[in-house]
This record gives sequence, structure tokens and C-alpha cells, in this order.
Amino acid sequence: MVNPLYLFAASLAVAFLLPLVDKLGRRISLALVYAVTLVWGVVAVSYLWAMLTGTAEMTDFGTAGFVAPLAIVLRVGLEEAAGVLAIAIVGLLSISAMWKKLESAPLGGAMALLMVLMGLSGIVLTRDLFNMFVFLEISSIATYGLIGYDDRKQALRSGFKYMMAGGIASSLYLIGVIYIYRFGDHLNLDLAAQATGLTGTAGMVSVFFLLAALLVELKPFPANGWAIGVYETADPAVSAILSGASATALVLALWKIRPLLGEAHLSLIAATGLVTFVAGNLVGAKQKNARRMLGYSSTAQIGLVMAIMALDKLLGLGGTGFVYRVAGVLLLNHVLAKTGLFLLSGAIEDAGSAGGASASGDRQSGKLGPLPLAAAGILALALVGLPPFPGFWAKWSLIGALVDGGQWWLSGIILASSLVEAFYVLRWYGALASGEDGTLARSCRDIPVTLRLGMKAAGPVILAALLIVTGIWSGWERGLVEPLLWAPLAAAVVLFLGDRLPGWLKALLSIGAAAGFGALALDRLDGLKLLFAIMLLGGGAMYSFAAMYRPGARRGLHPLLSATTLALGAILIARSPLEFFFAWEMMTVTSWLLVLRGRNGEKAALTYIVFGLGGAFLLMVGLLTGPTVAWSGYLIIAGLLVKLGALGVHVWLPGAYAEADDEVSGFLSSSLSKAGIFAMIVTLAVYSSVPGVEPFAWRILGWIGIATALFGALYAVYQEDIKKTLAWSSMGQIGYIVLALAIHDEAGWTTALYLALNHFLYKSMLFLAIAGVIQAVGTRNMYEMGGLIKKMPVSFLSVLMAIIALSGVPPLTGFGGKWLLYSALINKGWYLEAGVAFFSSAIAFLYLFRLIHTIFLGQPKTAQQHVKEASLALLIPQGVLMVVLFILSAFPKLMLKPIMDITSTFFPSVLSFSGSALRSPLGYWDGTLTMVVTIVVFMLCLLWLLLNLHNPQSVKQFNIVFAAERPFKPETTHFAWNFYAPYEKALGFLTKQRGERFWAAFGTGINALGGAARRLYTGNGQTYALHVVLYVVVLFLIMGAL
Amino acid sequence: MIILEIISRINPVAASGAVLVLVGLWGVLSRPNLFKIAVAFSVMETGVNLVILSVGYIRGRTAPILDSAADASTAVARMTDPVPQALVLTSIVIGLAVTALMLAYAVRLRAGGGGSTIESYGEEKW
Repeated sequence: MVNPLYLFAASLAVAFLLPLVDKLGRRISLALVYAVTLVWGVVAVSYLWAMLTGTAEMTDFGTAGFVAPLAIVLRVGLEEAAGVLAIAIVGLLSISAMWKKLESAPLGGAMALLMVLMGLSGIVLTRDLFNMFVFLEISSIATYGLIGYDDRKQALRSGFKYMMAGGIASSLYLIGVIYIYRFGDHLNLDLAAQATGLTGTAGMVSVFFLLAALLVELKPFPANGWAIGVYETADPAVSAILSGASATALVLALWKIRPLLGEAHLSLIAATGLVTFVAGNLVGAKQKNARRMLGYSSTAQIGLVMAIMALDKLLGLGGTGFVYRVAGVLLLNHVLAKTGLFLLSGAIEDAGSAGGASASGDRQSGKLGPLPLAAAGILALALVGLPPFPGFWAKWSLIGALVDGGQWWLSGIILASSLVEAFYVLRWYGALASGEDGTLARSCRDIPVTLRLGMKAAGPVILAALLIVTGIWSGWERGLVEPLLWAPLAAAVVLFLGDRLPGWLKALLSIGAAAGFGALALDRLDGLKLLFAIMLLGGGAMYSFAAMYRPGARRGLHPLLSATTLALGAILIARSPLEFFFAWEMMTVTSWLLVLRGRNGEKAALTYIVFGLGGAFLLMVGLLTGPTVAWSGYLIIAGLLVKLGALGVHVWLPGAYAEADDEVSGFLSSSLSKAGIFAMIVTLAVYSSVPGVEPFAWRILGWIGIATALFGALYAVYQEDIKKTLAWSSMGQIGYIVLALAIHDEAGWTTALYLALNHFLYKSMLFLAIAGVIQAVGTRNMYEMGGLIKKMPVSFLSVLMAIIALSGVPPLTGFGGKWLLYSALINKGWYLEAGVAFFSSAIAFLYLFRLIHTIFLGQPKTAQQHVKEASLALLIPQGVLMVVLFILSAFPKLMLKPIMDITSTFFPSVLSFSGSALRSPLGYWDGTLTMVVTIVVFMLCLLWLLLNLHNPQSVKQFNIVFAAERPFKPETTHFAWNFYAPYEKALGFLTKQRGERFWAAFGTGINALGGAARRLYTGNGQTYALHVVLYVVVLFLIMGAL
Repeated sequence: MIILEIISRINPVAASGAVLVLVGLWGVLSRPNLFKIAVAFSVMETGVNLVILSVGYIRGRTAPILDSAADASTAVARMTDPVPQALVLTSIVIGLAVTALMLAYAVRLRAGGGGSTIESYGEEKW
């Protein structure tokens, strides 16, 4: 291996030569700086390569012909090589980003940059405590120079505060080093760690000073105000170096001194790290300035990393390699993501202040181009630890180890805090994607057109690609070698790269992907999974087809839709908890992006992802605990209930279903929600045999289901917005399925699966038809529609059949569902539940009637005279679904027999078929006979009507005018406006949305915590210095108490 | 007498170093003027340097110079520890650089039209 001394020599030589070289031109000097950094990176790669392939081992390099204790020793091991590589990568990208400014700024900028990187690498490589001080100071002093290199006032004033804190830290460090030398007799780390003198009180105090200095440099809460200001104001590329490279070096420094530390020291690190993680995220959530937000997030992430390093040794988590796999991977994740985000924020700002490059005017204003936007999304998702990025795997291992160790509080705190982080980072991304606000970067309030970042986005894009690669590698290394699990990612990437292709081609590709997935996974799909595969994969393919109803490329839609579909498929074939959770989170992420794509989806998407992740975290803890204790099952079920939108945690649902693109709403409601049902069935099946699971818990689950059904229906009744109506209706219908599952016998589960399939059919028809209607009339308000029956007959028929199937009147499938549900409930002895279920379906009639009445019946609106039937892309799936629905209604055995085959594997049989009649202990139902009878009765009535229809009189739209009463606006005279006013008077009090209010209050509380914590950051440098001093004093006192 | 005993055991160099560190720290925390803060840091660094020296200094021993007059085999028992003296040189150089940069910052801030007190640079907050 190359002796790293040559690298230091090269850096120093170039730095000193720069003033001379600069006479030849600034570009040459910058190229030289770049070349030296590149050499560092290449050498680091060669180290890594040599060690990973086993041709070389960890090597110590002495200096001046001596080794320790006579001379400084540099060590190249795995973590050192990785650290140097990370520093070099961040350095290279930052130099590229700063290139323009370095060309015009004084030469000192380039020299300082070179020295920062060399100093940081030195911190990583050296084994000598005093030498580490020297490198710390080299990098610090060079950083001070770099912060002020472009002579901007904001950066200078933050830089001064930074220097004050740095000065205090370096004094602490020196005192620590000299007393370690005094009591441990060595400056070399390895020799000092063996010294017995450091175990006494005096030695402990000396180590404490060293530790305190490093901790202060790692920017702990609350002693980090001095750093936040610099993150905010310095050149973003400098912030990237500070957040990425400098944090890497300091974390590795802490890692290196870990052998010196006693239990008290480690407890301090763990405590301060966790406090920083929690507080950093809380304060971060309050930030409006993107860079300041990233700054707080940086401190939080590093806090978590150092806490893990300490906890590993304190609690003995996960054994050898745990720190590498968790803290190391989290650090890698942080470095790549945070560097990318800082660089991106800089690139956006530059492009924004330049008035935006040339761009075609038809795009929505203020949006990023697709590639930077995708890169930003990847970086943001990686930052909050979502799959497939490295942070996801690290978090899984971390929580797994904590759960194994019984550290419930710790895992709870870490997950809750991660949720806060996800909230604000994804809020920022949502704003970025929707082109809103100045949250992008400081001066971007009025970005006129689509930003073409061009080469400036190269850094973030490279880092995003690295995150994908390292993420896949981490997953692979953890045993996720099943290619189909990675199919969602592949589909997303391939379709994104081909996003300029016409929509129909992408739709075909998506359908092909879903079909291919199904074919490849077919041998793994048993009865239950096959049933759900039809709804999930088939549904996804169907909506990909339907997506052609709007012309154009519909950029972004197909990659996400296809990825979500395949993620749903991956949920079905998952064999281990990790595989399942991976697929589940992939589904959450991709569906969140789908919601975000909706026109006004920003706010709804944020609620969606926060609740989705909250539910997923419950799921995660439950999965990691495993089916050994009952409450882990309750946790999983609670997580799934969040995903299903059960009453109380349903607040994400109406917004997400209403604001997503119209066909996406259908996909979410009819397909995606079934994934939760599938997981619920598997969970209930597994946990029914776990000791300690109370039958009473099923009863509670049943009541949750029934309350969801009741309130979903109630909320749906009073909506003017048609998609809101359908959204609430979906919530209600899912409630019935949960209720049926809670019955927990063959009849109940048969009902649940029957209802699920049925819901898939009719909700698809409804959403597809309504998508066509909304496209035709251009509004979602039902009172602005009317009389569309003649313009859109097929859609009308589709809606008619769907609402018959939904409401549960004969002859369509819904009747069977209701019959099964009541039979199962009564058979179980749940009479009250049956009563409430009946009441709820009566309420469902109200909104269904309103739906078909106000849209299709009555008078057509004058503005909608030229409305045409929906496009074929929507009508073909509806037609197919209508045929299927009709056949299944006439021959319910086709559907029920396979379902009963599935459920009878879980429970003893209660139901049976005799001929076409389904028998339960309470009676029988013959779907075919019902169909025949109904059709005959219907035909008789129709004939009678036709024969007696004499001289009908048509009514004009505004015939109903109140005498001498002037309406405020035309709608208020329309019958569809405030359709159910009398019912609202009677039942409206039930529809006060308490869930929303509760969660809003909860959010306000969290927000207030963050607001209180950030009052510490007064902006005054001396206050910050005082924080540092007090922080150290408090740590010292706590250590004394331990 | 006990007090005198204790006082006689205190290393005077270390004690004065500690006092200087505290004086410097007090200056950093209480003087709002940018230049005075820089000076306070200098005082603090000097204190730290004294503390470093105090560790190597052993009463009654000679300078750590190996020449013909000194016997290499007994040198360890007769000389002070040279390592802290070497370290303090580095530390002094670094302190100088930090002070210089701090003053440069203060000058740039003043030249940019800002005030001379740290309180006037508190815009980045919360």
C-alpha cells in the first residue's frame, strides 16, 4: 500500500506552490487542487480494494524512520480508508461546485480547501493524540479561512462565532492530551489505551477533557448554535464539506478514542447523542430556511451515529461488526445525502438568482427539471432512512438490536424522532417538487421557470446514484438476494429513464412489468396470495392502462405507478420480516410520491407519508419482536390499522385519495389498501396461535372496524367534492373488512376476502368512471354537475352497477357480502355489531344516491352541453369489470369457492355449497336464483313503466325558484347543493372531525417543543460560547455522578 | 502549616496556567468587542501552553540536552521531559494562526460596515 505520507506531502507541496502556479492561470491551480484531491481518492480506493480483496491488511506507517512511541504513526485500516475516500469524494464534488467562485475569489480559497481536506484526512489516519490535535487545528483554521473565502458578510459573522467555539474546544483538547500524556505516559492511542494510569480518577478526568473537545466539535445540542449559523450562511459547498467530510473525520476520531473511554464516558456520549438527535429534529421541524434545516438535521444525524457507537459498547448490541453495519452505514448515508442536499441547495440558488436558464414556457413554473428533482427526492428519502437506501438497512439492524436487548424506550425515542425528521425533510421535498415557497434555498422565492441546473446538478446526481448503489449493496449483504424484491426499483429507474416516451408505450411497459412479475412469482403464490395478486398486480396493470386517458407523456406517473404495483407484488412474495418490511416501505414511498404528483397534493402527501411511516414504525417494532409475545402482534395490527385508515388514524386518507391524480386515487383505494388487508390476514393467522392473545382483542378490533365503517359513511354523506365522497366511502368499506376479519372464523374471513374482492371491483369502476367525469366537466364539486346520463351513458351504467354492488342490494355481489357479514356476525353472537353495521350501510345509501343522482340525473348544466363520453382507456377497464361483476353476481360460487378453499385452511368449515346455494348455519343464499328473480321483477316494472308513460313533461334546470327569495349564488337553488341538509341537522354533530383536531393539536404540541428548544439559539456568539462552556461543565458534573 | 504544605505542593506553572485559562475564558464570555475576544483567546492559549509546560517540568532536573556532558544511561532520571516542550512549540504556532485569523475576521467585519461588538452579528438565529 502507498505510504499516506506522500499524500500529505503532495497536498502541502501543492498548497505552497499554488501562488507560483497561479501566475500561469487560475484554472491550472484549481486543476492542481482537483488532481491532488483525486489522488487522495484513488489511493483510498486502492487501500479499500487491497483490504477487501485480502491482498493487504491493516497497516501502520511510522514517520521519520521510527514507530510509536518514538514517532507519530499513521494507520490505514478499513474505516480509515473508507473515511479518506468519503472525504475525497465530498471534496471533489465541492470543488466542482465552487469552481466558478474559486476562479474569481482570492487564491486563499483554493489553498484553504486543500488544507481542510488534508487536515480531515489526517484526523482519520493518525494514531497520535497530539498529531490529531494538529490535524484538527489545520482543518479548523483552514475551515475558518474557507468560510470567509468569498468575503460575504453573513458568512464572516457566522465564521467568527464558529472560531470562538473552535478555540474553546481546542483548549480543552490540549489540556486533555497533555494530562493523558502525564497519566498514561503515551501520546500514541494504542499505547495509551493499554496504560493503567488512565483508569484512575485523574486519568478519567484527562480523557474527559479530550472527549469533551471532540464532542463539542461534533456539534451536540444545545452547544451547536455556532455551527448552525455557518451551515446556513457559508457557501453551500463549504457547508457540504462541514456536514459531510468534517463530520466523517470527527466521528472517526471519536471512534478511535473509544478504547480510552470508560463506562461513564460512553454513557455521556450516548446521552448527548440521543438528546442531540431528538432536539435537532424538533428544532429542524421549525425551520423555514432550507440550509438551516439541513444544518439541524446534520447535527441530529451525527448525534445518532455517536450514540450508537457508545451504546454498542455499553449494551453489547449486535456483537462484532455491529458498529460498522449500523453506525458506519448511517454515517455513509448521512455523508452522501447531506452533501448532495447542500450542493443541490447551492445549485438551485445559483440558477434561481441568475433568473433561470432558458426553458420552455409550458412547464409549471418554479419546478426543477426531472433529473435534479429525482436526485433531490433520492437524497431526501435516503436522509430519512427509507428503502432502498443505506440508512434504511442500518435503522432496521439498529432497532432490531435494541428490541433484542429489551431497549423499548430507546427504540421508541429513535423512531419517534426519525418520524419528526421524515416530516420536515419530506415537507421540504414536497415544497420543492410542487415548486412552492422559498423553502428551496434562501433566495429562491421567485424562480420563474423550470430550472435547468445542467452540470451543477451533477454532484447531487452522482451522490444519488452512489446512494442507490450502496443501498442495494447493503440490502444484498443483508440477504435480500431475491431479484423480484428489487423489481420495483428497477421498474422505477427504467421507466424514469424512458420518461420522454409517449404515455401509451410506458403504460404497455408497466403492464408488461406487472405481468412479468406475476409470471415469475406464480409458483410462490398460493391461494391467498394469488387472490391478492389479482387485486394488487392486476389492479396496478389496469390503472396503468387507464392512465392513458389523459394524453401526453404524463411524466413521472408511470415509473411511480409501476414501482408501487411491483412493490405490492413484492409484499406478497416476501419470506422474512425484513423482506416484507422492505417491500412495505417501498410501497409507502412510491405511493407517497404518487400522491405528491397530484395537482394540490403537497399537504395531503405530507400527512400521508407521516402517517404511513408512523404505522410502518409500529409494524417494524412488532416484526422485529416476532410472534413470541402477544403485544408484538397488537403493534403490527395497530400499524396496519394506520395504513388502512381506521377511525382515529384516518386523517391522512381523505386528502390522499382526493388530491392524488384521479386514476391514482382509484389505485390507492381499490388496490393499495388491500395490501394492508393481506398483511392483516397473515398477522392474524400467525398470532392466533401465540399464547396470551386475548379473544377480547378481536372484539376490540371488530369495534374499530365497525366504527370506521360508520364514520366513513357519515363523513361521506355531507361531501360536496365527489372524490372526497369516494375517499370516505373507501374508509367505510375497509371498516367492514376489518370487522369481518375480527370475527375470526371461517365465515368471517370468507366474508372479509369476499368484501375485499368486491370492494376492488366496484371501487375501481367508481373511480374510473369518476375520473372520466372529472375530466369531462373539469370540476370535482357534485353540485356543478348534473344530467350526464345522456352524455356519458357507459360511465353511468358503470356507476350504477358499482353502487348497487356497494350498497348490498340484490342482485349484484354486494348483497352476498352483506348476507355473509350479517350471518357471520350473528353466528358469532355479535348482535350489537350487526346492528351498527346495518345502520352504517343504510347511511351508505345516502351518499350513493347522492352520487348517482347529482352527477347523472337531473338537468345538464349549460356549460356542459358539449361533454363527451370518457375515453376508451377508462371505458375498457370499466367494461371488463362490469362483465366480471355481473358474472360473479350470477354465479357467486366462482368467487366464493376459491375463497372458502383458502379460509378453510385456517379454520374449521362453517359454510358449504349445495348446488348454487351457499349454506351457513343460519340459512342459505342462492346468488343465481336472486339474479333471476331480480331481473324478472325489474323487467316487469320496466314494462309497466314504458306502457304507462304518457306525455312526460321535462323540467328546466332552475324551475325550482323560491318566491321572492333571491339566492346568493345559482348553486344554492340547485337541489344538489347541501343535498342532505336535514340529515346534517340530525346527525351532523357526529361528523365533527375530532380525529383531525386531535392530530392537529398533537402536531402543535410537538411544534411548540421545537419552538421552545430553538429559543436557545439567540444568534449571539458569546451566548453560544457560554453554551459550550456550560455544556462541558454539565457533562463533567454528570460524569462525576455516574 | 498544612496550608503551606499544600501550597508548596502546587505546581506554580500549572496554577498560573489555569488562572490564565480562566481569565481568558472570562474575557471570551464577557467582552463583547471582537478584538478583545481575540486578545482573550490569546490569553487563554498562553494559559494552556503553561499548563502543557508544567507537565514536563520536574523540579531539580536539567535541560533535556544529550551531549558529551550528559550520560545517556542516567539521562532519564536527571532531565526534564522534553516531549511537552516540543508540543508547546506546535501549540504556540497554532495559537498564533488562530489569533491572526480571528483578527482578520474582525477587520473584515468592521470593514464591511459592521459594528465592533459581537452582539451586532446575531442575525442567524433560531
